[in-house]
Amino acid sequence: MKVNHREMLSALVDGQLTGQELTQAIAHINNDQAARAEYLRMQYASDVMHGYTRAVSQRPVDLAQRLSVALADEPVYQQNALLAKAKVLAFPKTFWKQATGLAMAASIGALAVVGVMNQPGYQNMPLANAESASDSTQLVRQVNRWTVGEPEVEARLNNYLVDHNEYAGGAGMFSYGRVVSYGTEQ
Amino acid sequence: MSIDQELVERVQAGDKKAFDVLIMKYQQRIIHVITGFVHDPVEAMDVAQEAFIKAYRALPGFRGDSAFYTWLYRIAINTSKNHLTASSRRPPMSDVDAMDATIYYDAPELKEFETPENSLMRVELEAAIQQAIDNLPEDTAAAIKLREFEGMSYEEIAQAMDCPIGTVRSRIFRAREAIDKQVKAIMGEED
Repeated sequence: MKVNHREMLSALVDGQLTGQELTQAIAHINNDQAARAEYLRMQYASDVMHGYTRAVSQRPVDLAQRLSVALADEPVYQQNALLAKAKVLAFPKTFWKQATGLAMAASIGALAVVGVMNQPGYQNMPLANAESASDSTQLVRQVNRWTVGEPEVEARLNNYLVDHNEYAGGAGMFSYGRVVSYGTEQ
Repeated sequence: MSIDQELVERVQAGDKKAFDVLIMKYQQRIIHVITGFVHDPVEAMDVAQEAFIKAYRALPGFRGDSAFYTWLYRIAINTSKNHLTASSRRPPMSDVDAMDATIYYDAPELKEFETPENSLMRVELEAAIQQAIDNLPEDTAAAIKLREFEGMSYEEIAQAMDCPIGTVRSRIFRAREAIDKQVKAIMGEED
C-alpha cells in the first residue's frame, strides 16, 4: 500500500478528509482488505486513547463487515433531487416561530374587529372619514342641538350629558349604556 | 461541513459504502455505550448491529440538526433499553448523556462490563500505545497528543506548532504508524 494512501487513512481517522480525498479513502477501504484492516486498527487505537475500552477485544471488531449482509437488503437512498429542492425552499429556523406569532396576532386582531362589529351600538358609531364626519356634524347641528335660549341652562344640560357618558363608559357598562353625543365642542 | 455530515449526505445520495465508514468510525464508541446496559458481550454486539441498522433506516430523515454521533447515540440507548425490556430485564432508571458518556467514561454505571480479560487487554493496549508515543520524536509526539488528547483540528495544531497543515498531517500519520506497529504486535499480526 502506498504511503500517501495510508496517510489518507490516518486523516480519515481524524475526520480531516473532504471531497475527492474522502471518495478515494472510502473506495480504498472498501476495495483493499489490508487498507481496511489498517484503518480499523488506527481507529481502534484512537478509541483506546479516548477511553472507549470497556469492550476491548483481541482484534478490532468489523461491524460493517458483519452488517454487510443485513444492509444489502436495505434500499439505496436517492435523495439528491429532494435535498436540492429542500435546500432551495429551506426557511431560516426562526421563520416558523415568527410566522406562528404573526398568525396568532392576526387572529386576535380579527377577533377584536368582529367583536366590535357585534356591539349593539356599532351601527350608530361615527365613520372615520372626513365626508361623513362633516355630515354628522351638520346633522347634529340641525337636529340635536339644544334649543334652550339661556346659556346657563344649556351649560347645565351639557354637564349632565358629559356625566352620563362618563358613567356609562365604566367597566362592564359599555354594552348596555347609551353613548350620547352633543355638538362638537364637548 | 463536518466529515460526518458529508458521509451522511453521501449515504442519502445513494453511496451505501459511506455508511461503512460511519460504522467503522463509531462502532467502538457505540459498543462502549451499549455495554453500559447490556453486559453480555455477544448480546451487546447484536444490539449494536441492530442500532446501526435502525440508524441506516432512519437516515433519510436525518437533517443534521444535531451532530450525527448524538443522534446515533440516542438510537443506541433506545435500542439497548428496548432489548432489555423485550428480554424482561429492567432498563436502568437513568442513562448517561452522549457527551458525558464520551468524557466521563469512568462513571460507575459504565463500569459493569469489566472482566479480567478485558482489563488485561486494555492495560496492555494502553501501555503499548503510551510506549509508542514516548518513543516518537518530540514534534511527532506533540502533534498526536494535541490531536488525540486535546481534540484539536489539523488547522489548530498547525497554528499551535507554527507549521503547515501538510506537515501536521504527515507527523500524525507517522505517529499512528508507530502506534499501529505496537498494536499489531499485541494482536499477533506482526509483519
